[in-house]
Amino acid sequence: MKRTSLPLLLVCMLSLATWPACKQPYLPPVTKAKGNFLVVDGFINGGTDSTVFLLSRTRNLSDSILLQPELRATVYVESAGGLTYQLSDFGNGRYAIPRLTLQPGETYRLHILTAGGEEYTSGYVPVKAAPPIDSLSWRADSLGVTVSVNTHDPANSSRYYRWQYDETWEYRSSYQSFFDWDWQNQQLVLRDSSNQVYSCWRSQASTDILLGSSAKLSQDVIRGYRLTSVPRGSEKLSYIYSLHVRQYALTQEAFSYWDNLRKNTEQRGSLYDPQPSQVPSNLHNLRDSTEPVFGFVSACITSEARLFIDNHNGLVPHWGYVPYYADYGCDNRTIPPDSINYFIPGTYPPQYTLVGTPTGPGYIITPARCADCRLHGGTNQKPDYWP
Amino acid sequence: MNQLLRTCSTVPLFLLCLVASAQQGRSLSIHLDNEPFARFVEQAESQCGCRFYYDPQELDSLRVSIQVDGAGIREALDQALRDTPFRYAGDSLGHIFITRSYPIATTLPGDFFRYRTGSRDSASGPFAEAGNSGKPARTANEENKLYEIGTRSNELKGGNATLAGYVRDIRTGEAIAGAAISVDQPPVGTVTDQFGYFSLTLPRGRHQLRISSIGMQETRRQIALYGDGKLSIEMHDYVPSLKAVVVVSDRVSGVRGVQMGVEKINIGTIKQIPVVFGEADVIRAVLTLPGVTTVGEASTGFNVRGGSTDQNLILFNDATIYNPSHLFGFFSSFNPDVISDIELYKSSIPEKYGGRISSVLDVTTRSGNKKKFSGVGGIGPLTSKLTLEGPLGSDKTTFILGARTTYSDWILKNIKNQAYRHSSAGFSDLDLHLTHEFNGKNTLYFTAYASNDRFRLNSDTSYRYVNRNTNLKWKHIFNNKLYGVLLGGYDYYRYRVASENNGLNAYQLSFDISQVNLRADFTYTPSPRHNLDFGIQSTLYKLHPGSYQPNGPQSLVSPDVVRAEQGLENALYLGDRLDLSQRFSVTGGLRYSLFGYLGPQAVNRYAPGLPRTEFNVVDTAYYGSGHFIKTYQGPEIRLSGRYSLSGSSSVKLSFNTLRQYIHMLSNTTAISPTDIWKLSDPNIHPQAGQQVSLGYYQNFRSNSIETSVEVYYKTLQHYLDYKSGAQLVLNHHIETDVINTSGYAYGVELMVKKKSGKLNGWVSYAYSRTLVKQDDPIAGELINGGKYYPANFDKPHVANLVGNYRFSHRFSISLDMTYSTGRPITLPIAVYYLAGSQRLYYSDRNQFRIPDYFRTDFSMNIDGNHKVKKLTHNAWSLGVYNITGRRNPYSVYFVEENGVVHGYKLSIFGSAIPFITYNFRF
Repeated sequence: MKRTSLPLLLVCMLSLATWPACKQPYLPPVTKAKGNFLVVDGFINGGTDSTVFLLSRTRNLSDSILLQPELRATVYVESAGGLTYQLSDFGNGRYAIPRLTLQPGETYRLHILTAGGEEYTSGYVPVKAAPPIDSLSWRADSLGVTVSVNTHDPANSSRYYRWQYDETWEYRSSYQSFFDWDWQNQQLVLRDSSNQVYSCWRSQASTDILLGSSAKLSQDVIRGYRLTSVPRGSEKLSYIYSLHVRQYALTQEAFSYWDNLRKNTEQRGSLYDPQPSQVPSNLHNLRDSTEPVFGFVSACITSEARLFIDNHNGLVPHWGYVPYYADYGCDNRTIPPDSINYFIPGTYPPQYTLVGTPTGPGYIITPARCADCRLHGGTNQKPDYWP
Repeated sequence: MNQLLRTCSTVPLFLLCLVASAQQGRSLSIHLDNEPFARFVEQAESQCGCRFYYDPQELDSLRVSIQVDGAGIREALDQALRDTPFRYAGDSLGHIFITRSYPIATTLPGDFFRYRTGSRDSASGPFAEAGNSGKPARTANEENKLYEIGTRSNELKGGNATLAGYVRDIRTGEAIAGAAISVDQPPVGTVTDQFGYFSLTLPRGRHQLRISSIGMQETRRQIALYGDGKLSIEMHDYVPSLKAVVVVSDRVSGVRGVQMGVEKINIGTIKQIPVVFGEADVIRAVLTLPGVTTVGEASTGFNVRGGSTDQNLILFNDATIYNPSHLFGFFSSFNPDVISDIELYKSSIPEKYGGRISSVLDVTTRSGNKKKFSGVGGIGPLTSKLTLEGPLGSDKTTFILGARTTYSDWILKNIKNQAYRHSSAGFSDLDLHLTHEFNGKNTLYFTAYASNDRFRLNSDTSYRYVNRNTNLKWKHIFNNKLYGVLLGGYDYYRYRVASENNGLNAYQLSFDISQVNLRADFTYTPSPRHNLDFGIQSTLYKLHPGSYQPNGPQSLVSPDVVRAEQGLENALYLGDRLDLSQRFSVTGGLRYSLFGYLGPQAVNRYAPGLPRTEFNVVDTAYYGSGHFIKTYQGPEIRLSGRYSLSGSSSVKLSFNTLRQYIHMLSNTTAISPTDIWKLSDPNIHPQAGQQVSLGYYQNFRSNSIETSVEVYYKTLQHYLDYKSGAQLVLNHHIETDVINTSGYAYGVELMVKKKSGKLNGWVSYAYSRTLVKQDDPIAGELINGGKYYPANFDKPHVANLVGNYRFSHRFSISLDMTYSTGRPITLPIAVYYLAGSQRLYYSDRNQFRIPDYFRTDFSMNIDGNHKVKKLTHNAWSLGVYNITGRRNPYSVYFVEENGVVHGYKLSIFGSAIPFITYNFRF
């Protein structure tokens, strides 16, 4: 046997969801569930933010629509003591109410009346306040940068945690365009911060269910829980990277619901997968308690923290970022003054972007994707929290 | 002449042995009409005082018609052998030699008498007297001499006498287990036990014993049974290069044996089956048998006739092995170099075995070469092994010591993918077996086994598990009719999971199970029609169901220890094999087992009729040490019967009930190293199984081709399944997370086996279904609404081909083909958006199947030359596993990646995998 084939075969053998030779896409046979079931996504927010629920329906695997919103429902938050707060319908399955003032020690539930006449309630849940996040820390190694969260609850009463985060990062285009061509007035204008196209920001929300528990520890401490990893060379750390984390404290039932959902959808593909299983939601149809409902309603006061990693001075050495425009062929050219309307018409997106003026007559232009960072998907509006 | 005869019997080419003359004088009267030649010999010997010497195999088919009165022996022989190719000759001592010559002589040659005078010694040689029970048994290694058993008397007494002894390999002196010893008239037989010991009760008189065993050359012994006595039989290895040798491997036992659903494979056959990485594997061999399935390649767990993986009793020289796998199941725990054979009982399970409800896999080791020090070893791509064996001091004591280890780490380190550099995996195992024969009546057997496994897969969590087994057996022969084996043993299995990286959360999780066994098993053969087995067995279990401890000084982990549990299982059994008539035999066995769940323990009591949850705990009772908290008991019935339709066909029927007091907790479909075991307790019932099966067996071509059809129907109760999101590890009230399941299985198994000849192997097909349902009224939510659904290992169609073709004694090729229906899986039927990603809603459990499985393996076995005087004998085995490179799916799964769900098919082997191993012997 050739020596080179040995590693290959062993990798294959030990393949745990990463080796392409042993992992192939699979298209399941066409299956159909008996109906489209209600999905409730959100939580009762006892903090300063709004309470937002997204109601949708399950869909068949073969359906092409991404989300089938549940429209025109009536949604309430109710306390066990009889107080009722109605959420406003913001359309597209979104129901929200600004800041709720929840009573400590009181329990709350969600109550939904669908347009189809079905009535759903969740169980009454206590309001759990998350302890503050002690710190967000990051560490660079050969694979990239890992961000972790640290927290503790001196009262030892939180125990079960969930996190969600939003990543935002700044990236830059190849050329900095100081001027724009005002097509209407046929003149050069200086770009200000609101229409600069050199720096852009992109955001991405967490998609994984991030859960941690200190239930097995003698103190209610979470240290170094890994939230996310940014692989080496990623654009996210090409300039400045920010991570905003929301921390939830959960009841044990909520924790086991999310944990099971995570095991069923995220931790698959090992040699020893558990059977897929369904943990019942705390929501049910009042008329038919056997009807499946998805989602778990909790009431929580979150705590938040934000982390910045400023990598533009090479804080993480040898990051290895290859700019997205590296193979765009970004060269600039000088065009005669009378060609400017041809190259930069007043339509968006432009083919070219004006980057400057030469010492002689004419203009210097470059393909728009090399100078206009918005064409790479971000926004040129600097977030207000950005340094 | 002696020497010549030995040559004739060891290497029975169609040799022409010489002819001498018969004793003169006495007149004979023989009247036979188309009867076997043996009958003629019997009558002639009794009248003329002469002795016949011939190769019985050659004269098997000769039928004699003769009518002589007062004639001489010559006249009788002339008549008997007329028109046959056989010649006769006699010497002055009354020895008559019958031989065959080519071309067929239609008349006898003129001078066929050749008088020879031999010394008295050599002449009396064939009449060697075998000792009676008081004297040491003499070794018999010739087929054609007559062994007189017991004290010789002129007149035969009526009634029966018992013959007992050992069957051994002539080359190494090792005992041969499972050798069949049978007599044609009356048609009785027996099989040697694991020590190679047999006991056979026969009517006094002349008999021809037929002795056969897999991989050995069939042999015969002529005995004159005057009284109880001993006979040791040595068998020769089957020498494959010689055309004339027909390999016989208890080939009639399939038809003749009373038991059903027993499969026996010896190590020679196991070694021919191509396996991944070239290491002969006991469990892989078992998987080629009809009625045995597995959920996938990375699992050494196997399912027998719809039973789950924990319902198989895996015995290694009577030690219970809890985890029979190494390295994710790619290797089984058994070092092939120390193994002699395996036996799988899947239908009628002898009453001697209990404690599991599906099957018994009995793995027997060799006892070591009695005659000289020798060794075997092998080097493969992932493993190396070395086995030493030989006598210790005298030939009374023998040992066999085997060791195996892996060096897979260097491969992992060489992998380009970063992730695997942080992985490691490896195993080792060690075997020691000692046999000491005090005297003909007392023998001591010692077995020790230890295995270690470790792996770490790209994380800071390391897994380790160990098997430790030891036992001591004392075999005492009371008399020829009764012997007993006393066994004391200890079995242990432990796993540990440790995480080191994160100081605060660093933990060590461990589980262990141990059992202390005490057994006394007896076999009593009062008459040729009865064969009694009885005994008493006792097993004390002790489990530490889970211990969670801080690892390192920084760790904040609070220790969590699930209370240890203990149980005592006792069993009494009695079984009898009774031959009601020549055609009809039955075995009836009764095993009565009693299990006690012992304190100290705290047991929760739940409100009757309500779902069993923590909220419905009525109270918790505390019991002191040694207190019998709950006892379960019941009879287990083992019945089977055989009716012979003819010499080569039979019908069998069997009925079995079994009980099991220990459960494996695993919610993965494959056996995983972190599965734990649980004893039955007041809240968890013992498992029970019943099976009825019917089979038809037919042999063809003088028993060289065996065919069988077996159908079975089986029911199972109180098998444990788990609630959704069940927590199995460190659960202090596991009864709240488990659900009782019952099920049934049925199937038909077809098998055609050719064990002899250049081309040998088997083809099998099984159609089987296994359906289970959760019908526990106090479970709360039920899987699939309490309806029947296919079990994880339900594979309706399974076909296997195992073939070996021997071109010469140094070169053979093997081919192994497997087809099976894909195993059931649970597929998503709907998708929804929740918590930032797509999520899946799964169908009812096991309503779909993964694609079918098909694999072909090929290997070539090349032996070095067979010169006797060589330092080492070398052999190479090379081949390709999964030669078609088919990506057989092991599982199908769906996973969320960046907010979108993708479906994948995971194959363990993504391509054809070549292997080469080098084996040596010295």
